[in-house]
Amino acid sequence: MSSEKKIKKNKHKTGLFILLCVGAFIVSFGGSAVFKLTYAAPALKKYTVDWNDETGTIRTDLSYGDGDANKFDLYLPADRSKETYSLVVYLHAGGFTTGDKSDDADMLKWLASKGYVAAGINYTLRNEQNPQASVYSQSAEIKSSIPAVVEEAGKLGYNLDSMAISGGSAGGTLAMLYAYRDAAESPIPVKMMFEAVGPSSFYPEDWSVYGLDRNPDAAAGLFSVMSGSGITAYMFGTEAYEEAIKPISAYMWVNENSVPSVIAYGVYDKVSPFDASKHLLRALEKNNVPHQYIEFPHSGHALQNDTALYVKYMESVEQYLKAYLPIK
Amino acid sequence: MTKFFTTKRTVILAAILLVGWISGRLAVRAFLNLLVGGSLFGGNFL
Repeated sequence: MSSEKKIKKNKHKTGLFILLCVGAFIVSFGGSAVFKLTYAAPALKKYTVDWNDETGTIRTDLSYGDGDANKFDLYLPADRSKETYSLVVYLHAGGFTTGDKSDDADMLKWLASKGYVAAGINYTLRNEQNPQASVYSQSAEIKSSIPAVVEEAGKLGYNLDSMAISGGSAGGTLAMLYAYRDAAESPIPVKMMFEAVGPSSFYPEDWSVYGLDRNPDAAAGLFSVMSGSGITAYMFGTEAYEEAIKPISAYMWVNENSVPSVIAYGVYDKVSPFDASKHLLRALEKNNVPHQYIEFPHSGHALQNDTALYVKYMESVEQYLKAYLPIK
Repeated sequence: MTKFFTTKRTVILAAILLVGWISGRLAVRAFLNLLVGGSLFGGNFL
């Protein structure tokens, strides 16, 4: 082979190798990204159950009010032999403006598989069709739904005598409001609450992720919408503000009789500011409420970067359920 | 006839695969952090 031919062949091989390297990078990059998005830690797999007739049954879109959104789903355990059951409500996330009870089907199935009657409840979301909806009106809807849930479960042969309430993000806020504010009026005693990343206080200085600490008018606007009451920038720091925001500030309702709670927050949360959780923690500590607080030091609103702590959160939920809402 | 996968090329290819794998995971983490908050390092592996 002539040297010219050899050089040409080597150049061809080098070109081919460069192409191979580019392809390998793309495949490796894409594969890794997909793996990262879809990988579930083995320790969390036990919280996803294979649902079938032996696990239980699901009743969907049961009504608790006149509104289009006033619907709930019941996940009923297969064992119908018990005299009484405990209810666990899980409220969906979605920033009070989106989301659906079906989003938490995995959690509800897991709870039912443990022997609880589990309920996912929708509430009227704030959107163009419902511009009057607020965190307060949503919490009032949840309050009004519980008697209907208890009644419907009873009709289906599951007599409820105790309950826990829980949720994620917006659902977490609504769960806290029911547990700390409305529990005394619950048709069955509330025994515990668990939630993740739900805002429980509304002070502009804590909401710096939205720049509300530097813009009192914007803060007044947002908190007016959330509370459903007229809040002005001049009210911040006054007793009038405390009164106006109390109906949706779960931490303000914590007292020595509040139910045991498991709560989780991400330090880098961009959606529900981490600083807004410190009042809740302080209130739980001050009132000696049994609680498990789990701080995710590398995560944001999805608690996505601290899987080991997410496992701890779920294990804490299991322990609290076992201690405060034991399966009969 | 010269080998296509020389030792040098094998090492380069392995390094590129590793960089691609790490970059893919980092990119997803960075994107999620952008949406919901989070640190780029610490906690889970990448």
